[in-house]
Order: sequence, then C-alpha cells, then structure tokens
Amino acid sequence: MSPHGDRAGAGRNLAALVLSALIALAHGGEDRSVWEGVYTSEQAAAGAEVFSQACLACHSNAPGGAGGHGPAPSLIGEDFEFRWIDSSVADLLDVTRQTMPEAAPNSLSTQQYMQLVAYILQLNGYPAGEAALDPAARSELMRIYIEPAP
Amino acid sequence: MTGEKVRRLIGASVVGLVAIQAPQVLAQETQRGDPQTYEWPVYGADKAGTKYAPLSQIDRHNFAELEIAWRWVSVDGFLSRSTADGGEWWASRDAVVAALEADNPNLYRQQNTPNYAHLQATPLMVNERLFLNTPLSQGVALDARTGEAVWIYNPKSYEEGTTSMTVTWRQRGVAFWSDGADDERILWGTGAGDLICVQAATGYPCPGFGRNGRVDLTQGLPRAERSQRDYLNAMLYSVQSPPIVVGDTVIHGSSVADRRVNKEAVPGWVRAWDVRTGDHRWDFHTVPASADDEGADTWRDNSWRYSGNANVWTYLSADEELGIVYLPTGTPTNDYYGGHRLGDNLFAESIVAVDVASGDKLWHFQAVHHGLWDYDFPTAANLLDVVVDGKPIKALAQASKQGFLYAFDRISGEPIWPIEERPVPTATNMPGEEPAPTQPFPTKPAPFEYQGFEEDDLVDFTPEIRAMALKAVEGYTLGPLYTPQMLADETTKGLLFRPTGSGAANWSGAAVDPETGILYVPSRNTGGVLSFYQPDNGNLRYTHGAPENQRLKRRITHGYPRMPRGLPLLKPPYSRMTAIDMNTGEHVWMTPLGNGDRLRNHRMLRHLDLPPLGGDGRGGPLLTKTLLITALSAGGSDGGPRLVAYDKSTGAELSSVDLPRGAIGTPMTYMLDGKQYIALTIGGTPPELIAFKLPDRANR
Repeated sequence: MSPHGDRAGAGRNLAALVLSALIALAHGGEDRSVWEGVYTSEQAAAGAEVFSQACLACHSNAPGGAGGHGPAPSLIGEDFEFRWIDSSVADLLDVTRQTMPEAAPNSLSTQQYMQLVAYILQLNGYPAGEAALDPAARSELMRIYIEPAP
Repeated sequence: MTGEKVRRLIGASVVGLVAIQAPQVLAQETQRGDPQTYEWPVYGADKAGTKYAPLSQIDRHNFAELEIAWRWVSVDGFLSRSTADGGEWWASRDAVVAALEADNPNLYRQQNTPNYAHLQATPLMVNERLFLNTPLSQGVALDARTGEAVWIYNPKSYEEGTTSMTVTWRQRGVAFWSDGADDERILWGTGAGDLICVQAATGYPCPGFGRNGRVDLTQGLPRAERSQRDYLNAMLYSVQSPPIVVGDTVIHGSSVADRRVNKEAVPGWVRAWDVRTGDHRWDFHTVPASADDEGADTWRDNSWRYSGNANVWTYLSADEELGIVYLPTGTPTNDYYGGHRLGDNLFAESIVAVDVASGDKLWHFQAVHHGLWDYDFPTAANLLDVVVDGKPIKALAQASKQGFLYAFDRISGEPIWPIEERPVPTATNMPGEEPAPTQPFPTKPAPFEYQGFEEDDLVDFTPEIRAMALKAVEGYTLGPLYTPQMLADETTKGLLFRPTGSGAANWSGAAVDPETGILYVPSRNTGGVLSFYQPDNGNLRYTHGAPENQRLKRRITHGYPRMPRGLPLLKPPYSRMTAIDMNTGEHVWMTPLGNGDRLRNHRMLRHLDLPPLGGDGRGGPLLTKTLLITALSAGGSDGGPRLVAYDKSTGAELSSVDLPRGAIGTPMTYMLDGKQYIALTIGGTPPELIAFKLPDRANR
C-alpha cells in the first residue's frame, strides 16, 4: 500500500484535520468525544454485571490490575490509552465482541457488549451522560472517539 | 455409482448414473431444478472434502431474504451423571461438574473444566436428520425440518478428565456409515479418546461394536496410558475431528497436546477399525515404531523412540474408488524446539496417501523438514479432477498454515507443478537446534497468504505510521519464511515470523467447485514471536510459552511488538479469500474478508480512503452452484456478525444476512421438501445450531 498524505509537520496535521472535518460532514455529523458523556450510569452498571460474569476471571477491573483474578491485559489507564486513543467507540465495541470472551468470542448479545463498553469507559474515568450508547446507531458510534483528558 | 452420491439425490427429478468423480453429470441434473432432497452425508460435503453442493435455490437475488428456520441450543448446558444406585442424575453443567470435582478435586486441569463454548461441528444431513457432536462429546440427531432433538447419546467422557491438546473441549463432527440396507451408524471420537458408534435411527450404542458400542483408542498405542495425566493434569489422548469411513473401515486422527515440558509424547498414529465390529485393522506410524519403519533414519539418535505428536488433529479425505485415504499430519514434539529430534522427522508435516485395505503407505510428501513453526497441516486435502495442459489429472490440493497450496496427482503423488527444494536460513542461537538447510517451495500456485516477516512487510499507510512500525520491531530478528526460531537474549528479542501457527489456512479449510476446478481458501495474516524457557518440571531443554503457574497467575506478555493506538503492524489485508484455478495453478481473484471499517474509521487513517482491509475473520467456506458463502465477524447491520454471499467468479460481495451471534463452525447446506437450508453453529451460553431458509413465499 502506498503512503498517502506525505507532507510533514503541522501542514500535514492541519490537512488531516480538515480532511477529517470534511469526511465527518460528508457522513452527516461532527465528531464527538467520550468526554461528552456518551453512555448512562445504568448502562455501565449493567455492564459491570456482565463484566463480573464474563470478564473478571481474566481481566481486572481495578486500576493497576489490583484485585484482578486472571492474567489478561489491563483495560484501564495507560494500557487502555495506549491502545484506544483515536479509535472510535464502534471500534471498541467491534473488537470486544469479535475477540471476547477469549473462550467464546461473539457469544454475548450486542446489547451486553455495548454495556461492557459503557462500563470500560466508566472504569477509565470518562463521564456518564443522559443518553445510552446505542449499537443500532452505528454511524453515531463511529463518530464518538476515545480521547485523552482535555 | 457410489452409494453416497445416490443417497444425496433422493427425490431428484432425474437420478442418473452418478459417479463420485463425475461432477458434470450432477451439473446436468441440477440445471433442471434442485432435487426435493439433497443430503450432506460427510463433514466436508463428501469424502473429497469439497464443501460443495450443486444447489441453486438460494442465490444472489434472494440471499438477503434468508430467515432463521429454527434454532437449536446445545445440550451441553444440561448434563447427566450415573449414580451409585443405578439411576441417572441430570442437572446444569455447573452442578454436575461441581459434583464431579467434589468427588475428585484433581479431576480437571486447572481453569479447564468442561466448557461448552466451542460448538465447532458441521452437521451431517442424512435421512431427514442432522447429526453432530458437542464440545463435551455428546452425539445428537435433530429433525432437519424443525431442529428438534430426535436422540442424544452422552458417552459422559467429561467424567474422565480434561481433554488433551492446547485447545480443549471441542468437537468438529461425526461420520455416517451405511451398509446400503438397514444398518446405518453414526461414529465419532471423544475427548477421552474413545470411538463411539450408535445406530443412526435411535442413537442407541451399536450392538457388536467394541465394548457396548465403544472402542478405547488408546489401546496398543505407545506412551498413551489411559490413567496417566500430563503436567497440566490433562488427558494424553483425545479425538476432536470427525473420523472418515471408507468402505467398511473407519479411520481417525487424534489430538495430542502441543504445549509440553517432556520430550516423550504419544505418537499421532492414524488408526483404522472395522466399522461393524470395532476390531483393530491397522495403524499408520506417523512416528516410527521401530528402527525398521520407513523414516526411522530421519530421527537422529533414535529419537523416534520417545518423540510423539505428528498427529492428524484435523479431518481426513479419501478417494473411495481408489481406496486411498489422505493423511495431513502435524508437527512433531514439540512445536517450536527440535533439539531432541534432530533430522527431517518423517512423517511429520506431511501428506501421506495410505491404502485403506492394507494400511500401507502409497506415497508421501513432507512439506516441512524438521518443523519449528507449528505448521501442522490443519485441514483435509481437497480432492478434485482437473485438466492441466490438456492432461486429465485426479488431483489433490492441500492448503496449509504456511500459505502454500500443494498440488499433486493423487494416484502417483507426483507434483502437478514442480516443487523445488530451496536453501533457507539456518542461523540460530537456540542451543541444540539444527534447522533443515532446505525446504520445499511450490512453483505454482503462488502462495495464498503473506509469508515471512521483513521490513517491507510493515504497514506504510503514512510515513508517520511506518516510522511507528519500524520502531516497534527494533531489536527483533526478522526474516523470510522458514527462518529458524531464536532465543531471546541480549542480541535479539526473538524471531518475528509469519504466518504463525494460527495464520494462513486452518481447520476452516478450503472448498472446491468440481464443475470448474476452482478452489477457494480463506486465510489470515498473522505475525508472532515466541518466548522460550527451560522447564524445571520436565526434560525438554527448551519449550515455548511460560510455566503454567506464571501463565495462569500473571499478566501474559507474549512479546509481540505493540503499535500505539491500535494501529496494525503489518500491511493489509488481515484476512482474505483466494480463488485458485487448479487447472492452471493461477489465482483467479483475491478479496479481503470484510471491509475492516473499524480500522478504516481510525482517526489517523480515515482521511486516507483505504480500500477494504479484511480482518473480519476466516470463516469456513461453503460452495453451492450459485454462491460462495462464508461467515464474517463484522459488517452486519449493527456492525455485528453476518453470513455473506460472494460471486464465485469475481469475489465480489453480493449480499449478507445478520447472524444472531458470531459463527463458530463451517456452514453446510441441504434440501428437504424442496427447500434449501443453510445451517451453522453460532456462539451463545450455551451455543446454538441455526438453520436459514427462504421465506415460504420466496421458494420456487
């Protein structure tokens, strides 16, 4: 695959931003941030329940991995940011459902995976809001990006 | 005319003389309309492993109208246990397992109690019923119209312990046999290493077969003492793939654990039994049994005496007319360190043609000498008839984990196109290792998946991302295919290699269209690195991974380079389907499996307008007269899993339907009452088998 957009430095970043904005407009909406309150506390609470049944055997739900029951990578803090900054919530949903639980990927319902995503966002300190994440609103989820603290 | 093909066309508008290798005749018949009934009597559609059915009712125009005809929930969530008073206790899986563990706290491998998740079977359809087995080795017959259970036979193999193999608790299917009259049987191997035979009509154990319808497959097998457990407290020998019945001989492979600390292991001999009585007929020694066995001289220092594996963990194919069964064998003990088995190690990582009547080897081809990469042959060879340069050939095409498709005349074993022995890198810092100086390279077809892991293979979406990738691989050893494994030390972080043991093709296999000679193979693009350690609880000088207590209790760091922000390390596509014309050896088309929208939408990538990237799985292929069908893990209406139809000629995606959960097994198809069904297993707690068909109004 050939590289695209090989301008350097600030010019390249500016061009990328402009392009992103144009693409966002073409898709009928602006980018949103996980800092805007994109899930509800109820949704995250339901996700905590799913997490305890399907994930906690391998993944910790405490910062730094404390209290974890298994060997799987941390989903919180630096590890989460290293992997997920600049990805969309749709990406997080897709990867979670395509790969987890490790012994049976894609074995939970889409709603349960969405609840898990809400819980993982809550674990990482992103605030709850008024509206729940809706897996049926695919284009919306693709516009909500995971960002570092402003 | 074979009984198999006749059975499959019951109720057809025209039933002519159909021979197993005469697909043209089938084609002429089905052009007049699909039969009322069409059966799927073997795991891969037929013993040639084509995964092909000449049905046309479901086509490009109506595929999106498919609806779920029925859903069947696996019975593994509700198990039984015999009680001391002769009764039978039924309860949830959890309750039964808890009771078994209460009686014997050391019954199971740690964190590996009976697991029902991997419902990987592709069912058979015979006599208006579907037949399959479950991860806990239960056999099931379902009404093919409704999905209702007709019978269940539970050999209770889960009472004996945790199955062998690095991947545990999974079964991929059963075999059907008929004497052409009233005697019809279903056979499957279990996680505890038994061969089960039940009556197809009732599910009751076959009278006169073994002991109460069961044969202990560990009998007469070296280093396979049934009562022994390995260092993981798992059983030594299991069967997870369906056997094959050729004539009245039932033949099967086995599962032998890959993660080892000892050099001694069960040899993966392929075994054959009388389908009527269960009497032993022959073994093919994939690892020699004596110094007189062919190939013993390829195990230096008599290492055949203790080495094992080289098993066929996947399914088999056979040419009934020729009376030949084809064995796709795996890596010898152990997967990535060969210091205890110097030499080429015949008949590991080979295709072996065996005469079914005698068990004698007719020809063989070893694809990897002294394997160090876990390049087991992962799927049955596809048998098909082709015409190459005007010459008709009864061919065999073998897909592989290393991304080659090996093609032979299946009678003589002669390669259809030259296969060259070429020098490969041999430098390694692994103590005691002596890599083979050459490996076989097919000159045709071209590889169907990326091979090797070198700087040119790193992602180059933008200069910034490429710089990230170059930084990520700093300090690793890179190289072409068959670069030897490296021990991480102050000079290297280890060998980055590709494909990995889970890359390119796997048990999802390949499909072939007997009408065109085109083969379709799904594959994955995966890179990996291995860590090695010196076990203090075994005699292997080195083994891969980490000690079990660390693996279970500590964070796993596989050591594979991590790219920031979820960006990929390697160039796309990340999975693909390739169509190869076996008459010419040329690729016809390649298409990524899925758009990879989640990645294309990445903030650092979305302005690039990237083409489809693949990465949405490597589902098993199903071929019909009209379509190539496979399941993907993404791209559905809510981004979720779906069943997808492709144009066989171009690879263009035609249509798809959402799946309620992700697919597990490879789909199959059948006709009943003039309606075409597509059935496949999907995830769930427990998982399910579901069947699609067109709405009644849409049926022709």
